[in-house]
Amino acid sequence: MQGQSAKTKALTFLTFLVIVPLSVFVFIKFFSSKNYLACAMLIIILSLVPFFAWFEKRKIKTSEIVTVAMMIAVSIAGRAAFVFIPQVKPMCALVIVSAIAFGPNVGFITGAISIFVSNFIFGQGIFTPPQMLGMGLVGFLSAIVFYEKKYAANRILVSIVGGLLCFLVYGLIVDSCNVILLGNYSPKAVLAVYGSGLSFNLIHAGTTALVLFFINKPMNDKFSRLRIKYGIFSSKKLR
Amino acid sequence: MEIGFKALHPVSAFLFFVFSFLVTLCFSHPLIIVTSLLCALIYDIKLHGKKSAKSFFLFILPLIILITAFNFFISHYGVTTLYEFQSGNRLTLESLVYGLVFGLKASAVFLWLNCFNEIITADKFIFLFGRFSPRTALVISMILRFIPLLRSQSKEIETSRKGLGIDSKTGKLFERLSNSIHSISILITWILESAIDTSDSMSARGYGLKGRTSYNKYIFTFSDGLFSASAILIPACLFLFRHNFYAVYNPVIEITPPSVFGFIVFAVFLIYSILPFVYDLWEERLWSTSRLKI
Repeated sequence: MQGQSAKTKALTFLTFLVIVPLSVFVFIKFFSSKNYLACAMLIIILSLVPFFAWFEKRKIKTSEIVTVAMMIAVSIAGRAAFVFIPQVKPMCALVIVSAIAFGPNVGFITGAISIFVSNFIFGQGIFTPPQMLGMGLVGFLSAIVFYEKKYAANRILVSIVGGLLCFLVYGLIVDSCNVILLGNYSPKAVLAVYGSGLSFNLIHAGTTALVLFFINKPMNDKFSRLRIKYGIFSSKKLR
Repeated sequence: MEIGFKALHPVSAFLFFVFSFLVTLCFSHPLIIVTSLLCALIYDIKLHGKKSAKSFFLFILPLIILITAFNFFISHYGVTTLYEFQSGNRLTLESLVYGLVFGLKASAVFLWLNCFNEIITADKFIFLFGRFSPRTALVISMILRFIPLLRSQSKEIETSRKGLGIDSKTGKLFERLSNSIHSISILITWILESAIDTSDSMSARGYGLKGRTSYNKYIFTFSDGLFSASAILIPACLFLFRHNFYAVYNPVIEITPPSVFGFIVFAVFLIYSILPFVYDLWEERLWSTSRLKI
């Protein structure tokens, strides 16, 4: 992560090298070893901590905070507009576009908070933490690939990578939690769960790629106008 | 006016739910799981009424059946064979019981989450986490305000474009589509501009300066303290005496019948789980009798 203070770096290391193994150990030692669900949820929630700690501690302009909040509001409105077709969510595409404009860490925050707040409207569930992690990682990784890169303007590339990330990262994480929820770990059962999620994930990834293809250029124009006019998010010019 | 569990301090309500989740997730003893499920169901019905009963039959019951069947037909561990297929795969009692317990566990968590959604609203959540992460809490509260703002602004844009004859309901299909895309584009440009305006206004009012505090409307009373204490102590007791509630389903079903002492701990847990329901009833009765006196 770029621009990290020593404190948040220490917290990141502490979380992943000490607290996560320790909690796994506690779960195995003190409860019957079948408690994968509780253990997995704990690890997922812990892995969200460093990103939010970074977001709290970083020096960030007020205008950047408000713009991030606005983009998240747009992505939630996008999810609400298509609530009757659950597979079709422009949310993922909007998260990717904002992440490419804002950078990896803010991209993670955008994805995670989008899911979190929209679940206040559609109902919080046991899937909230894994969905947050999945959407956050989609934002994070797409920003790693495209942030401040020249080829971010190539909309075919953006839509292909975005669709792949949506399918592989978000789909995999949420489906893995389905596996843990059903509580059966024989290879046949695991394959059956992943197989049943396949069509859902394919439609989700396909719509994400399609929406990305159409909104990439106009959104990029709007963001670079903002960047030139008010000087937020990045000192470098994209084009 | 909010009464009962809803009017409780967010900290105590949140603690109660966190420990209900933890206990339900960590214990596999049928006694604990069934108690948790029933208490969650009763409280859910109290909160949501008919909607809860509907979701129980449409969602929770199928979930239990699905998880049980999934386990029963796909895993073959266990020693007690109920039926053997010609291919050599066996259906066992152990996998059936384990699947059932796991299904009950998952549905108990879902039911508690239903109650959680009703009690811990977004503003309470912001209050709870605003101290640890003020910036995230600020972003969340801004988002909750921006969503209705977006709706009203998009209506305004549509109305003015209707006056020009280029709104999303005039013209042929292709024209309509391109008009609505234009509206969305205008909306997003307006949003980004107004975000800058909002942030200027915030800095002008001194956001981000040192020494600023925030207002909250919650007061921590004695009953809140009592509730929080029991929300921590009772699950702690359960975890301390967890060998009384030991249960294994693979390869042999082994469920410890709790001792007399275990039953006392269990009874306390039962009271704890039913507490929100009883507290709500009690407060409602108090409210109605005090109204009668007036």
